[in-house]
Amino acid sequence: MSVNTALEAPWQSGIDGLWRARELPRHQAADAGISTGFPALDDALVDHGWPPGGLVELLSEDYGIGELRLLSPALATLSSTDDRCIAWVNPPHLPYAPALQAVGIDPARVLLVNANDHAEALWALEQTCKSGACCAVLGWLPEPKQRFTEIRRLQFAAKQGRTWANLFRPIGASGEASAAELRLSLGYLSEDRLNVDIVKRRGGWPLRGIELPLSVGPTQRRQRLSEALGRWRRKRFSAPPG
Amino acid sequence: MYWLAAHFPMLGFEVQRSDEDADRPVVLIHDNRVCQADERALQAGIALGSTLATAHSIAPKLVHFPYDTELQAKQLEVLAQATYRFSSEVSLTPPDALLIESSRSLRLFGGREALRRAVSQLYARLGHAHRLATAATPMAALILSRAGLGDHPGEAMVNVRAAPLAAMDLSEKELERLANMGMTKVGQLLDLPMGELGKRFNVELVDALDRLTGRRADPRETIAPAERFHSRLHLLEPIRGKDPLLFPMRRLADELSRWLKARCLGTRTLIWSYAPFADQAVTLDVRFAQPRTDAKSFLSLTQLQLDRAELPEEVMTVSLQAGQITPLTPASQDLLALADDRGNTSQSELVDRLAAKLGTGAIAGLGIADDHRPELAWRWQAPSERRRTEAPPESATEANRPLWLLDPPRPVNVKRFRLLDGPERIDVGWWEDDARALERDYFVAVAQSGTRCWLYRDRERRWYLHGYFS
Repeated sequence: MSVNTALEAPWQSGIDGLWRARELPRHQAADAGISTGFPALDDALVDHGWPPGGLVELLSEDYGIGELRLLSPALATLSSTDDRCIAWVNPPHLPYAPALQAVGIDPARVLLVNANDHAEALWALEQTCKSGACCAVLGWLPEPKQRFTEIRRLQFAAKQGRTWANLFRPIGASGEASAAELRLSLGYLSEDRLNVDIVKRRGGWPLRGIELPLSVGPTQRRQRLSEALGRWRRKRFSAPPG
Repeated sequence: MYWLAAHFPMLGFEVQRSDEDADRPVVLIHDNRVCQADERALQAGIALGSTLATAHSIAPKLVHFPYDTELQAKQLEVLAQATYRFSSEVSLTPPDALLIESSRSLRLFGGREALRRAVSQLYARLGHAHRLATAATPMAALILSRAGLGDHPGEAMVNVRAAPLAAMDLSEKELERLANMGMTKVGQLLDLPMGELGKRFNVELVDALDRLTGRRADPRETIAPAERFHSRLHLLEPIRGKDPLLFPMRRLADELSRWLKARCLGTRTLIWSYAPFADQAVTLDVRFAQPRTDAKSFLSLTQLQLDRAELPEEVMTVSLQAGQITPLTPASQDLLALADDRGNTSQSELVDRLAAKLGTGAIAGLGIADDHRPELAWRWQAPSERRRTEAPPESATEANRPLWLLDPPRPVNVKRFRLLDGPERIDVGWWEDDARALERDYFVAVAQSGTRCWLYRDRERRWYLHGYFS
């Protein structure tokens, strides 16, 4: 037995109640989060999921790289367990009801709010968060720059209304200070993979490079099926008769 | 007694028909057969009782509606409420007639002719074809108005004798029996000895004839006028600015709230009006998604709209009117959730609040429609409707649809995309007019930035971007 292993033993065997700095603090079951549907991301978050009451900032260069597929498993869970509505404040495009239905989000729960300008969008976001009538809020603001106090107000409102609030912002904002509970920077890897960097999280250091597999649509399923069929055919017909 | 009967022969059409099919023949359908036809349809040769298919083959431009008794009853009620200004005794005679006992209104309105003209003008303004008739008994007035003999000169009873039996409230069977006996006019029936008639037919027929001639009283149930709330407050001194206005407004809101609670009612619209000393009043409409009764929410929602409104510089009179008053069934509350400390705004309150500040057009809900055309597979829906969407057919969830839809589609250069999957041919709507028919090949593609897109190629081989998968 070497000295090294003897020294390592107490760490690795795991002493009950010993908390190490690289671990997340143990969460209480009472305020467990909404599972993101991605185990890799769940493990990195203090609530083991999206915060049930708090603001999440999603920073990305472009809309459409998979940010909705990142949220959709949790939204689908909420739409079957929570009877409050899901508010979309100032979305850049129209959320398409049949596709929402297909991923499990009940379109009847969706509340669309279109604001005329930045101030109105902020007001609508704060109202939807604060009211407690929405289980989740998805917000897009017309102006990229936000003041610190505005974000803090939203975070406070989301806490008050126990709303999982999401704010989509350009990636340039990642350097700014923010009062949001969780800040994620999203990066495109491929059509079915998304890179998530945690810029800020409660109870932990920033974390880079979480790769998430995104749900594949029926088209890719068909593609994979035809590839498998091709392989099987080749094997079947090129095999020597025996 | 002076009874005025108003018969609305076209009521069934008038409640359904829109302006765009004003010059097309219209029929009403019950049980897949024509039960009412308008003049154009009758001229085209459509007979009552013919099937819908026959009617359509006779007149290809035909428009048909279901015979909706509920809709008619509602409109009749509206007409009755409007008629209430002429007499306190207005009664409904479903499906399409009203009776007005107006002997006590004659002097006020300046005699029989003037009253009749005024009633006629009211119905014409509401857009209803009508036939009026007057007689000493309600039955006689009804028969005359139904038979269209109300304008005939001479004694009312003489005209009634000439009216066809079909204008009386008789059952089909009785009508047929009487027709077999050679009776087609009311007069022929009246000439028969009552005793004999009672023996051969049932007592109701004799009873009806007695009421017609006035030998027997014919009491009618009158309508109750709709409840209204309109209150105004004249200020002793003019008020400038919006904040001090809240004091008189609070008094009015409290008054309305008490009034509603005492009657178990709720209101869905408030109409505030602010009048200066001499000029035109400014009105402010506040709408709620759900009927409300409490003064606090009246005020808080009004305040949001008041911030945007332009009021007269000096307000002398504030008035409040409640519209769309409906009986209220208060929702039951969760016993255990009472202690819940979450923000206790309900969804309808949130919707009202957002609508008050951003305008009603800014708030919407989503619903699914059963159509293969991507643009028509969804629809707007009022956000307060909390009905669950029924599960869509399997094919709809199987198809790959983007989460973001571009409305309208954006023309693109296909060279900048890499096509992944397709084509999915959507070729539907050819049975409708050209604008709504589509023939498209949909492709899943990847843009240069890596975004997964939904493209389509139309009949002219132009490419459009229709959505992002995100």
